Amino acid sequence: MLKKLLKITGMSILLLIAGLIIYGWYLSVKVEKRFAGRRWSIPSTVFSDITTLYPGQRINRSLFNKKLNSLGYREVSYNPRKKGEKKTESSNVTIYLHELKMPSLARKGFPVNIRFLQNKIESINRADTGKSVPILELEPEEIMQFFGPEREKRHLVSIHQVPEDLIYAVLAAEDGRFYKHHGIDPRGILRALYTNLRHGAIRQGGSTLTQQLAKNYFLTPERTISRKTNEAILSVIIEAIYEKDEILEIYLNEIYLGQKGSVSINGVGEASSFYFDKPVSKLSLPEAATIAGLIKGPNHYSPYVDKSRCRDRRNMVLHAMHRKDWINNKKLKAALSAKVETAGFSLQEKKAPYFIDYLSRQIETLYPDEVLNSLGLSIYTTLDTQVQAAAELALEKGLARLEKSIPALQRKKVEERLQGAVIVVQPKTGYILAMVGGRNYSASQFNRIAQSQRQPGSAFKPLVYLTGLEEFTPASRLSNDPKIYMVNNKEWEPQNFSPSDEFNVSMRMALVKSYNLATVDLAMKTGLDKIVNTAARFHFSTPVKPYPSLALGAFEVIPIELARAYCVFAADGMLPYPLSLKDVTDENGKLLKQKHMNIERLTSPAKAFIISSMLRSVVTEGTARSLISRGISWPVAGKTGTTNNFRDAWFVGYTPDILALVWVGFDNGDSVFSTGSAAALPIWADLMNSIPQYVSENWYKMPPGVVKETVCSESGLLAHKGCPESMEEIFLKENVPAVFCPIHKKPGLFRKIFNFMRKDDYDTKN
Amino acid sequence: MIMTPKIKWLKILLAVALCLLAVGCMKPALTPEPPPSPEQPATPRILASLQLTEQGRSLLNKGKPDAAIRVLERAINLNPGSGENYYYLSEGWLQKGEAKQAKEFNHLAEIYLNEYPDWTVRIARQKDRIQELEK
Repeated sequence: MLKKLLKITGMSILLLIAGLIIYGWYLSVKVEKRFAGRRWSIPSTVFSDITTLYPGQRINRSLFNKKLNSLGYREVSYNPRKKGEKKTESSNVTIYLHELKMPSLARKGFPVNIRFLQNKIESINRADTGKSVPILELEPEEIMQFFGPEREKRHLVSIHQVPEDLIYAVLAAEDGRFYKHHGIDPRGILRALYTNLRHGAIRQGGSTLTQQLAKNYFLTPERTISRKTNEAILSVIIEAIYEKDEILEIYLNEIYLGQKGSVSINGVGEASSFYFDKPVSKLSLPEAATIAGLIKGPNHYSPYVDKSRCRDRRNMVLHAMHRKDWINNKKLKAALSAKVETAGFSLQEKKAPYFIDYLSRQIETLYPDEVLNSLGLSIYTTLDTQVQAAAELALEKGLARLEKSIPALQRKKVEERLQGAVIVVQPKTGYILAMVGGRNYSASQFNRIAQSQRQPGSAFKPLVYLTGLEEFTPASRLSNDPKIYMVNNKEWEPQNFSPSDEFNVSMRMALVKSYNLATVDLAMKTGLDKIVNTAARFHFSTPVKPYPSLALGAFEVIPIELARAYCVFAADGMLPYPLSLKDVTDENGKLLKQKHMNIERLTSPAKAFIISSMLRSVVTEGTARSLISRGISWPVAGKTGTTNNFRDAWFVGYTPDILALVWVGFDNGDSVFSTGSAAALPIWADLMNSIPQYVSENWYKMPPGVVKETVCSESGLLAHKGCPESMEEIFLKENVPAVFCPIHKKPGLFRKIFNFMRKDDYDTKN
Repeated sequence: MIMTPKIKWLKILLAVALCLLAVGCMKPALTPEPPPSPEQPATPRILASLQLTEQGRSLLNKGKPDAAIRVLERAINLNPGSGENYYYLSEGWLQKGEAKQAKEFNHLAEIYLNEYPDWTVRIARQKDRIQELEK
C-alpha cells in the first residue's frame, strides 16, 4: 500500500515537474517570440517644411513668434544657455536652436541672434561667436503623429546611450540588487515585507526590474496569486535567456513615465525630451534622479504637476544612490541643491487638419496603417505653418465679415454655415504651402479644396484665352454683342455680368473686364473641341463637354486642379505636380522615400507670359483692381470668378513666387449674393499681406518668342500716324499683326510734312 | 649609384606618362566652375537663393543628386527667375539618369539664360548629354 502510495506520489511529482517543464517551455517560447520581434510600436510623425530665414527678409513678427513657440522654444529672461530657449526683445530675438536632422540637411544647435528692423530681418548672427549667418534654417515643426490604439510616444535608446547616473538612479529607486539576483530577489521581498508590516501599509514593493518588465509585457495589472506566480516564472525565464544589460535596456525603453494630453510618455529617451528637452545622454545627475523617481508614480511625482513633491522624490533617489556608494558626498550635495527645471510643453490643437487628411491619403497608399502606427517613420512635408495659420485666419475673418455685411448669409446650424477654402502653392515647384479645406474641421471634414466639385465660372476663362492664342492676339477684336447660340437644339443667350456699351473689344480687355459675350465669341471662333483638349491637357479630372457655356466655366472642377492649372501661367508654361510629401525616413533617419518637384511642359513660356500679362491687367484695371486698395501694391496676376446665382465666388491670384486660390460658397449651392471680387478677393489680399516673406515684388522677364508692337487701339492692327489712339501690346512672334490699321486713314503727304514741321518746331523749343 | 643620362630621361618620361595617365583617368568635375552668374539685382532673396545654388552645385559635385535637387528646389522657391538653378536641376536629373525631367529644366535654363553666351554654350552641351541619355 505504502509502495503504491509512494509510486503515485512519485508519479505525481514527475507529472508536476513535466508540467512545469512544458509550461516553462511554453512561456520561454512566448518570451522569445515577444522579445525577438519588434518590441514597441513607435508612431510615425508628420513634420512641416523647414523655415528659411535670411538677412533682409520681410517677416510677419507675430506669426514668426508663434512659429518659435510651436517649435518648442520657451521664453527666458536671461541670454539663452540651453537648446530650446529664447529671449525676445523689441528689436531682436536670441534663440538657442535645436538640432536639425533631416535627410538632406543637418546642423547642430547653436545660439543665434536675429535683429529686426521694422518688419524685416536686419541681421542674423551667431550669439556665441558673433559670426554672421547668411541663411538660417529652422527645424521642421511636428504636425501630427500616427498613433496606434495604445497612443504611446517613445524614443528608443540603446543601453550605451544611457548615462551611468541614470542607470544607478533607476537601480537605486527600483532594484538595488538588480545585478545580483536571478529575476526574483528573496532579500528584496523580505525587506519589503518587513517595511510594510512595520508601517502597517504597503510602502515598498518587492518586485525586481525583471518582474516589472514581465508584468508590463505579458500580464494584466490585477493582483492575484496566479498572476504573481506567472510573473515570477517569467522573470526567471527572462533572466535565463537574456543578459542583464539587455533586460535593463528593454526596461528603460518600456517603462511608463508620464502623460502628455492623451498620449503616454514611455521610456527614458522620450522622457528626457519631454521633461528636459535633451537627449538622454546629456542628462545631468539631478535630472536622471528625477526621471528615476517618476517610475513609482509618473503623474504623482511629475515636475509638471508638483515641483516640490518631485524634488522630494528626486532627493530620496539621490540619497539611495549615495547610500549605495554610487555617488560621492560632493555630487550628492550639488544635486540636492539643484532646482527642478523643466522644458515645458504645450498641448496644441490639431494643426492643418485638411492638409493632413490630404497627405494621409497619399501616405496610406505607400504604407499601411500598422506600419505608420508602429515603425516610427518621419514624414517631411511641404507645409509652411506660418502660411497655413495666415490662410486659416484670413478665411475665418473674411467669412465672418461677409456674414456681417450680408445677414442673409447667416445660418443657425453649424453644418449649413457659409463655407470657404484656400490653397497656397509655390507655382514653380508645386509645393503646397497651405490648405484650408473648410471653415471648421471639427464641424466638417469635407475638404473643399481636394474633394469638392464646383463650377469655376469666369475663373476658367484664362484657359479659353490660352487656347485662343493659337490664332488670336491680345489685340484681336472680339464681338461683345448679344448673340443667340443653339445648344442641343435649344437657344442659349449668354449675357454679360453687367450691361456694356462696348460691342467690340480687344481680347485683352475682354479678359480684363471678364466679358462673357466676348469670351463666348472667342471660344466659338477658336473651337470648343480645342478648349476641351486644353482642359484635358491640364489634367482636369472632371468631365468637360464642348458646349459654348464651357467658355464661361459652366462645368465642375476640383479647386486644387484649378489652382494647379493657373500654376502653368505662373511657371513659364510648366505644370507642376502638387507636392505635399517630400521625404520619408525610418526611425534611424534612413531615407525610405523621396519626392521631388516634377514638371510637365504644357504650353510655351511665351504664351504663359502673355496670359500672365493679361491677368495682370485684370488686377491693374479690371475686375480685381480693388486689390490695390487692399494694400497689394506689387505686381500680381489674378482672375475673379462668379457662377450663376452667385453660387460660387472665386479668386485666383499669383506672382512668380506664390499662387493662392480662394473659394467661397455654400455646400448646398445657396447664393452668396457676392462676386468673386467682393467675397474671395479680400481673403486673398488679407492672406498675402500676412506673409510678406513670400512677396518679392518681382515680375516675369519677357521670354523669347514674345515681341512688343504698337497697334491701333481700335483695330488692334499695326498703328500708323493716322490712328488717333495707339498702344503697346505684346504678341507671340509668329502672330504679330502684319498689316496696318485699315480703319483710319493714313496721313497724306501734306499732312506728313505739317506733322514733321510741328515736331521739328517742338524739338527746337524743348 | 650614379644614374646614367639615358636612364634619368627614361625615368622622367615614365613619370610624365604616369602623370598624364592619372590625369586622363581622373573623373572630370560634373559641374565645373560656372561662368559668372547673370546680373541680377542684389536683393536679399536673390542673395539667399545664390547661397543655396552654390550648396546645390557643391552637392552635385559630390555626386549627391537627390540632396542637390532638394536644395535647388528651395533656391527656386526663393528666386524663381534664376536660370542657373534650372541648369543645375537639369544636371541633378541627369545624374539620376532621368532624361525627361532633365530636359524640362534644361529648357527653362535655356529661356532664362538666353542672353548669356557662356551659359548658352553650357546649356547646349547639357542638351546634347540629355539626348545621349535618351538614346
